[in-house]
Amino acid sequence: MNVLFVALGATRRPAVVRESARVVADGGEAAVLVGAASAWAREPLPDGVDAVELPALERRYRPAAVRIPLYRVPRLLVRVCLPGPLRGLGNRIDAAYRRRVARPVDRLLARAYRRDPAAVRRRVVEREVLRRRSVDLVVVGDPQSLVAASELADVIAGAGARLAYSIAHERPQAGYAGG
Amino acid sequence: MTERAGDRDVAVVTPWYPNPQQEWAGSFVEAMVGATAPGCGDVTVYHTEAWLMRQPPEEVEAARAAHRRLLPVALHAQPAVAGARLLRVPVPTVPEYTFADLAREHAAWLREALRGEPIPAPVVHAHVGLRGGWTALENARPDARVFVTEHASFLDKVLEQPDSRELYEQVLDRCDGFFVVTDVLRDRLAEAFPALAGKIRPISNPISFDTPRPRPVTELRRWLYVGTLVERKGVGPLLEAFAACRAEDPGLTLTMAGTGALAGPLAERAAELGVDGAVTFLGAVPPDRAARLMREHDLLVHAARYETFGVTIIEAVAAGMPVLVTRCGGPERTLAGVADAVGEMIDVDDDPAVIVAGYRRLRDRFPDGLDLPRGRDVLDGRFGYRTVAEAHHRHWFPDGAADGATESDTDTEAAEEREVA
Repeated sequence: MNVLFVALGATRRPAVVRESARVVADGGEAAVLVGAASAWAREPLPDGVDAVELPALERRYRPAAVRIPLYRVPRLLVRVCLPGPLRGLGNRIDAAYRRRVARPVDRLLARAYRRDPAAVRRRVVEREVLRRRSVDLVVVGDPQSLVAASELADVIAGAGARLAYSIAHERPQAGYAGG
Repeated sequence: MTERAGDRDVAVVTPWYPNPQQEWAGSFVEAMVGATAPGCGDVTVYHTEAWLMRQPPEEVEAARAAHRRLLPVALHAQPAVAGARLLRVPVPTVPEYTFADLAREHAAWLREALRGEPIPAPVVHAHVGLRGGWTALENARPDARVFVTEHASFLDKVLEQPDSRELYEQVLDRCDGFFVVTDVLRDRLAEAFPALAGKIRPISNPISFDTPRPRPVTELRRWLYVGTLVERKGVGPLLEAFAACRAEDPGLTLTMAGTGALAGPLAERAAELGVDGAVTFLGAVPPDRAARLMREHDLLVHAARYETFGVTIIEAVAAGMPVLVTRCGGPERTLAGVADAVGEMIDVDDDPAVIVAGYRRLRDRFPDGLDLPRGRDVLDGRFGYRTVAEAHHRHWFPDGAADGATESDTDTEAAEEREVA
């Protein structure tokens, strides 16, 4: 079972740590969507459990309509036009283009494509987390994640994952209920 | 969620139950379910679990609105002890609430989880007066019989709040039966609500006597404390007393299982006393590990200033372990008649010398001056699963407590005596 814990508030760390460890011990995979990795410094996640910082994912997000023409196509052109020994020159041109053209234009466009933060969140979680990790179950790990989980509910269902407040119902015996 | 419930179906409503956040929390409720479920029909435990928020009010409200949308898809039942079913309902809450506010929140969220339908079971057993009792009463079907068991050692704090006290009186008045796990709680409630005092009856928490110790204790060297590390538990004088006793016998060790505000200061004090190599702080341990620790140690030392029941003391005797315990309210009643057989009782006192003197007296008469097997048998008869289950079933199913069997008058009288004990 592949489980994503949404624990943006880090206020129920023991529960997330114990349940994610249990997923790994049962042979599954676990990742925790966190608000800030530093909040977990004193109570680190178990070995084999990945922390995925949602703010970092959101910062890196660019829609394909921006990413491809503004970054990928120019880079491809530079590589095609300046191959082999000219690769170094190409890289410098590409870096200068990004700094002077792509990023300023991206910043202007970002006002439009980041206008709806919830939509950005839905897209990055769907693309970078749910589909990339083939998540089966999304566990709402703390009260600070309720809003985000609710906003993501249809994306989660669309990715074929289930929503829950715990992994317990998925296990043959209820570990904390004495099963 | 309209279901046809069987006559012996039971719902348990509780704000405490072992969970991934606090593995040990409410283990006595789980034990009660384990004890009482056999002989019932379907048993469903509704655990309303507080999820604390310290965010601004608008964020809390947004979280609650989101929670309402999520509940229908994210809430799933899970298997629980003794074939019961557990439904854990998160309750977003804030620290400023009174106990009455909390009770209303728990009741509202259980109603939300039940989609406005009443709890289908005809018998509802709630734990804790307000968050369990009020929640049960507000969600039970009109013809259901609601019973409440009070365990809370913080009952005084509840009764100090005017709105909580008023709601508590309503719970006492509306429920079909009100039980307390110790006479200390009964006395306190009877004092607060004299008109309803006759409704309050003691039925203890059940203790498992099923796992005996592999080898009997032969010497009192491995001390154990299980509980929170706070002032009220007398853990400071306990550590001082241990250091004094260890000065006479360097073979002594002390294991402290539990967490609390004094964890750090105790560790520092152990180092100052030069006993840090002999004292082990385990932090919080789940109930099964606590039971194992009791079978691996020689003496439970419990120096609390106040206990309503003192469940670890009975568990220690169940594990075949002598106890050194203060007369702190609950223990002198739970151990009545067998205190000398299972260990030594000492007065509540901040002076560690009292604990030291008690330890010496116990050591001097161990093992011949004790009779642990007899004490264990007596306590099994008072607090064992079967005894406690019978006491509850007689109230829950007055037409046939033993699932169709009819109790003889003698059986009933004996059970009443055990219940009162």
